[in-house]
Amino acid sequence: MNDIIIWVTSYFGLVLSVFWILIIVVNEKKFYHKHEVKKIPSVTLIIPSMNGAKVISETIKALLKLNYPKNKLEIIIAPNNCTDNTEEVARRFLSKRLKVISVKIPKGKRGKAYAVNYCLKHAKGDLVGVLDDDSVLEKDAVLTMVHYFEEPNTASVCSTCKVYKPKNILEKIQSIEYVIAAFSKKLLASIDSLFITPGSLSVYRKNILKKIGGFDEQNLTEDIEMGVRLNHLGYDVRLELDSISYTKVPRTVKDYHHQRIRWSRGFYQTVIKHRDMLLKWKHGLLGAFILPIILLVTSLGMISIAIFGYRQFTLIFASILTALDLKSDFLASQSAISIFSVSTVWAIFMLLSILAFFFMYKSYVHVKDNWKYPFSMLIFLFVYGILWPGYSIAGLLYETLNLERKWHR
Amino acid sequence: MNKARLLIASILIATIIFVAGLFSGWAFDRYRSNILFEETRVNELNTESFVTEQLFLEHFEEESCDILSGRVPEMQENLREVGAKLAKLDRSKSFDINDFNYLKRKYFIQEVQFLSIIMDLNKNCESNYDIILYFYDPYQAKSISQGQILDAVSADRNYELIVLSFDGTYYDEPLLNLLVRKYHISELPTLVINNENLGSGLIGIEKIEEKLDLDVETN
Repeated sequence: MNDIIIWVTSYFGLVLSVFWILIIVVNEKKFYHKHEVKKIPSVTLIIPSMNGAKVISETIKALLKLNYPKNKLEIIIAPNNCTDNTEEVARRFLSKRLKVISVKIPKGKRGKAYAVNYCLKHAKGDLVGVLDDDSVLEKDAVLTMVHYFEEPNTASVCSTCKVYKPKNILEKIQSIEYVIAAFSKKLLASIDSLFITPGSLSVYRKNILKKIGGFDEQNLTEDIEMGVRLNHLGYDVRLELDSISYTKVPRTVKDYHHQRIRWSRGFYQTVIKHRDMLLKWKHGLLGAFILPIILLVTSLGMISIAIFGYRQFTLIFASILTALDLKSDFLASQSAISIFSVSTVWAIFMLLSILAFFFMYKSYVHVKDNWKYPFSMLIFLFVYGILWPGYSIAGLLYETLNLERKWHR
Repeated sequence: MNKARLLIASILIATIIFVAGLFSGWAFDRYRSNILFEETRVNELNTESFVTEQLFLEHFEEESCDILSGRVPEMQENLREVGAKLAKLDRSKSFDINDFNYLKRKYFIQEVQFLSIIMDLNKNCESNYDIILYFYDPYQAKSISQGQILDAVSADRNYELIVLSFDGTYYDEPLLNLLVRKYHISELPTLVINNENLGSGLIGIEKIEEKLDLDVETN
């Protein structure tokens, strides 16, 4: 049975890998097809903030430098349930085009989603951009996105999110992950299946956002839920590689852990909410293939890693036992190592690593980032991936056990 | 290429790669099984030839023991090689089950034949081969460790030490029941050194060598 699970996982893993490679080959040239914008639309940028006094100045300064017609850009800062002086900091930047709307979040509602929905009523722009209080935008971030809204079915356009000034190894690893994630999102968008509208900067068509009732105020990851919902309702979500936004990522393992658990739980919350999309071709590739295969490969991947891990653990444990018994005679330990160094599972692992390297290369080319942090890259390639199914199962467990939902940055 | 075609193409390509992988695996297994069949046949012939030689040499009493002992290392080495290959196949789980069972039974029988030959040599030719019978479970960590310990022990002692491994979970072979009854095997792994059951559980290199040295002094 164990072997069947590993074989099935390998098969679907292979299908997914071939699928990605084909998307790259077929769509690569279309990534940079630029349209001239006939009429620049008006945009309102909403920045909800809870206790973001330390970071919001930098965010606002970058917004004020945006290369976008001043008469078509409105900025709303929305401090919500703050216990620090976020509002006071934001008010220092008050002007004709920058408003501060303080929002009181009712109990049981998700702050960011509620604050954005509240501000939506006050937004004047045809488009509404939502960004986190710690996002820093490049000058052309908004201007480069808007051409997509000339396609009538586009409901949202996402920016390419990168990590802001990574310092420690955890941040550097995440910066690599974000480059790859941005490229993956571009690939998903090219097959009309992008299901995340990242919080670092996503712009929406205001009338659609209002029509569908705004953000889900209960969901732990309102950006995933929004992306899936837009797809569910038949709208397109796009990503612009030239629109760059920077975000701050968790610096400590504890913060990272909380964030990933939240993401994972939010994903399952969303999939459960939109379960009627699954395996139905009328919801496009996202419903028919992408979401089901993500669920399948992650769950089978978790089981396979558990089986593989258990097998290797018993071998290593046996070697340790032997070495202890032999009083430092390493001969026995070496023969145990030779057993798994030639195993098929390692061959599959190496093949997947090569594919991952290819994918990483393509990501750096298209996201136009420099190759840096070689040590972090090695960790990312050979170790970091194991965490994903781990967090996936943890999120599923938390959600199944219905543990208290807390929001962590 | 539209989305449905993209998906179908991915499934087709992945299936082709997967089937090609399975086919090459199967072809390699056939190749390995042919080699193993060949080696087993050679062992079978060697044993038969040894027994015939033994019968023939009974007419020339003086030289028979030396001549027969001279053939032990080769037989032992051949048997060890087949055993190691079978163990690898058992782990890979990609071998035709009927072929595997046939080869395993053959190997089992050849081991017991070889054991009888060695016991015969010890009894009639005053040879002093130490015999270790190792009963193991192929999927048990302790058994794997015990196997590694025995590898280390036999590496030091060359051909004076005969180690015969028996898969204690292989009940398809009736000969196993005979050995289990004879040596009172109740748990795995168990070591029987020169007909004495040392008990189950992991037995370290020092204890094994101590027992072997003691037997040498006694003899």
